[in-house]
Amino acid sequence: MTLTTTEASTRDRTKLSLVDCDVHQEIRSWEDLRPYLGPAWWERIGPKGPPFGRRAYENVRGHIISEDMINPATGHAADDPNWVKAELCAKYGVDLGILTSNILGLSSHPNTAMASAVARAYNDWTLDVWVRPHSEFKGSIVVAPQDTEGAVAEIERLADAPGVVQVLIFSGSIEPYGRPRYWPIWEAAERHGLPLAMHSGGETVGIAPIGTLAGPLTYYVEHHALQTQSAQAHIVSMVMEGVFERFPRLKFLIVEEGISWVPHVMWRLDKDFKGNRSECPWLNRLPSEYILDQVRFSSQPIDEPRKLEHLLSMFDMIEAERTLLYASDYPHWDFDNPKAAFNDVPAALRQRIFVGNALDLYGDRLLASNR
Amino acid sequence: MAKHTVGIVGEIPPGQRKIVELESRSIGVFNVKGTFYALRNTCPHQSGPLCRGRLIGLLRASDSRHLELSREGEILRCPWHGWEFDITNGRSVFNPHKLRVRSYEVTIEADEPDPSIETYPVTIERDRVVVHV
Repeated sequence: MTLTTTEASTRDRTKLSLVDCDVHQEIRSWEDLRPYLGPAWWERIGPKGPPFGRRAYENVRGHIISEDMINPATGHAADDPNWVKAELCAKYGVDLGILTSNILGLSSHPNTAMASAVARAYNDWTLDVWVRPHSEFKGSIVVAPQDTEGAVAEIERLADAPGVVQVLIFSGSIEPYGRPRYWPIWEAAERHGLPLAMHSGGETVGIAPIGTLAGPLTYYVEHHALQTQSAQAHIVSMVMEGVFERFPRLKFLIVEEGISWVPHVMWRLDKDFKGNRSECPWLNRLPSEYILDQVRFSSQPIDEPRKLEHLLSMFDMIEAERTLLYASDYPHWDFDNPKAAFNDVPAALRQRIFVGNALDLYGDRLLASNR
Repeated sequence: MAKHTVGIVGEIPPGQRKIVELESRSIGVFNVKGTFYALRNTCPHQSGPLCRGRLIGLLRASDSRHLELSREGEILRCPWHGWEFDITNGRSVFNPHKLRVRSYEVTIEADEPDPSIETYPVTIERDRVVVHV
């Protein structure tokens, strides 16, 4: 049997032109996880799945999936790797898709052991069905950060699994991610050289609070616009509690929160820190320096200011040439088309966003074989 | 301008649509309560497949409690980011003056009748749907 080069050996970095750091593979039903959960957890959870909760805010008629991205053979979206390869990879030119799952409510589930059990099963399913057989996909180690012990164990279990490129958590949480209870998880990620990715999800349900600092909003459109509040709180917390000082090799990728809030956070923190240094004296650098060195951002949903130069200014403010990674969010409704959304971005910068920064962030794991 | 027959009336019942390729353009042809419309299947936002979206009505409201739905089946919502377009003229709902998608004239044409037979002009299922590109 002859193995094709992309399956058996390291991918050639010069042949990569588009890495997508946010592709949502989906289980069709919880039955898909049954063999991976094992009889005891399946007995406990069953076909209805864990009570992850329906969010308080939803798009019109619960619209999440773009209609054209539904697999006609099954009526589901992103449920078959071959369908996703034909759609996302062939149609939109994605060479490598990093998988971010469809269990975005995991992090706000109060039953910590159950959340970790679901994460383990989901990771095994992902590696079995998506990553090992298909070199176009890379896997995340999904963990439940509310379960420190379980999350660390899962990172230790899968850190060396071929095809895995990062640890993945979701932003819905009981406390911001700079708090010490989470530090053993970040330590494990750093020790294994795995970036930590945080994808939006899990807010307004379970143990995660609903509401802004002004109280809960009314409409999905409001909630979606201000979804960035979650990322802001986590970033500020991680910087000021010293996570990036304590774990200097840790890279933190924020997925699906856009970028226009980033300059705001950097400038406010830097200014306030100069006077309030004594409140957080363990920091040896300015907050913005930690952010630009150790935090990365996915591009979706890309901001669309009226003037192109404002978008380019923002890219300049966040040093996008080293911090920004392309994401499609396939198959969700706010998908960013790589053949349209970046056409006005200068070519050299676009190359960094499409490929260069992903290569830098993920290193050898991005190119290594999935087997 | 060229005329293209995209099918017959009976193929696209009211509320249904057909997406065709004409002169290298993807175009959606819709039957809205018996009248045919055609729109370019490319959303002006990010080039999404607009004509695959849901056909909805126009929701208006003077305040949050009193919703009014009109023009059911005449608004097309892009399957990607949800932008709404009036099927009858391609104009966007949120900014009809500046943003629109290309719309095409559609006519229904019967084949030439046999002049030796007395006929009555009635649109029937076999008449052709013709898009003018």
